[in-house]
Amino acid sequence: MSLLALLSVIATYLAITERDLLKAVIFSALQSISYVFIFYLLMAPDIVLVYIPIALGIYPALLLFLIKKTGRYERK
Amino acid sequence: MNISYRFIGLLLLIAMILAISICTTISNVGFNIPHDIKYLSRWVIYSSYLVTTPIFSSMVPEIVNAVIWDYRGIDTFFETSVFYIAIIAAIALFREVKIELVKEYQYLGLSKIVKTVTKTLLVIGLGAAISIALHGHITPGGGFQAGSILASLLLIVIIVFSVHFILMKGLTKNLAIIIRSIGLIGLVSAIFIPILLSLIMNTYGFVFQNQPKVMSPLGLSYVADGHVLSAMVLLLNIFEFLAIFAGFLIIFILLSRPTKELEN
Repeated sequence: MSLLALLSVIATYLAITERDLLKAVIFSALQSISYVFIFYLLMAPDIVLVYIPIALGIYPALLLFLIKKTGRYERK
Repeated sequence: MNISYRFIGLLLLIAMILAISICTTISNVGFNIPHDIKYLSRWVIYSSYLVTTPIFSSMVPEIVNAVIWDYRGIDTFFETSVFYIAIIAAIALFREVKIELVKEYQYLGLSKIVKTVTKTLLVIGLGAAISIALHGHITPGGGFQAGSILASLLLIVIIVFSVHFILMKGLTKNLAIIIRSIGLIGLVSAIFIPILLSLIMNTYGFVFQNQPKVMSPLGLSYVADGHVLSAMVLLLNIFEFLAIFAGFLIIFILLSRPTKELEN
């Protein structure tokens, strides 16, 4: 569980500093995956059931729609 | 930003986290985790399903659903209202966009292999979502979980088959708005019917009254033909399921339109 927490911190850092927004969305999804496992290990299946579709399905998809409509690379 | 700077920052971050965690575990500085359950949670676990005295219980075997729909029902109600208002804002932003139905567009989308896999997945996922909604009071899950699972499935369908496919099949924005309104009207009526009944029957009634209480005899039966139904929680889960999945579907239909179409 601590390894997963560390992985989530690394993924969050990479998502924040990434200039390519598509990669940033993927890093944020990686952080969500580690959170899913942490919630499951903490015995919260209700949260897992709501976290998988929201954080791995709907949220990255909405961001991808917006990235497609605006632009892929962040300006300096 | 240079790549080497990023990795130096990352290493510093990891070193900081490890240092803090090692210090807190070795010297026992961090928060002390209590070894027994707190009084409130023990009471909630104890009283969520009491067959002998249903008057003091919410009669929901699944404790999370007992909390979100019975003990803390108004929280969940306001959460649903916030979601409702947010989607009203989205509809208002896209109010002048007219959706044109072109018959040829429904054959767009990804390859045939992906479409076949998605069709199979849709059947399985639909079953899973409905069972999570209907069993929310017994097993982990509930209306919001099931609604978001079905919404993400429909999102996959939108990506694989294109929006026009869903619109041609009859699942339009207006139908989604109607489903969502049915869900919310059902939620509100299930919440406020005990009060109206109490005015008619000249007894006491409460908002979100699930089971009969000491002073008021109102409430649906929690068991039917040997099956635990947790009457009002089941109803609320179904209505929440309808409201949530239709709400997300509206946003997807609005957002997944090409930019050129929106500019026209």
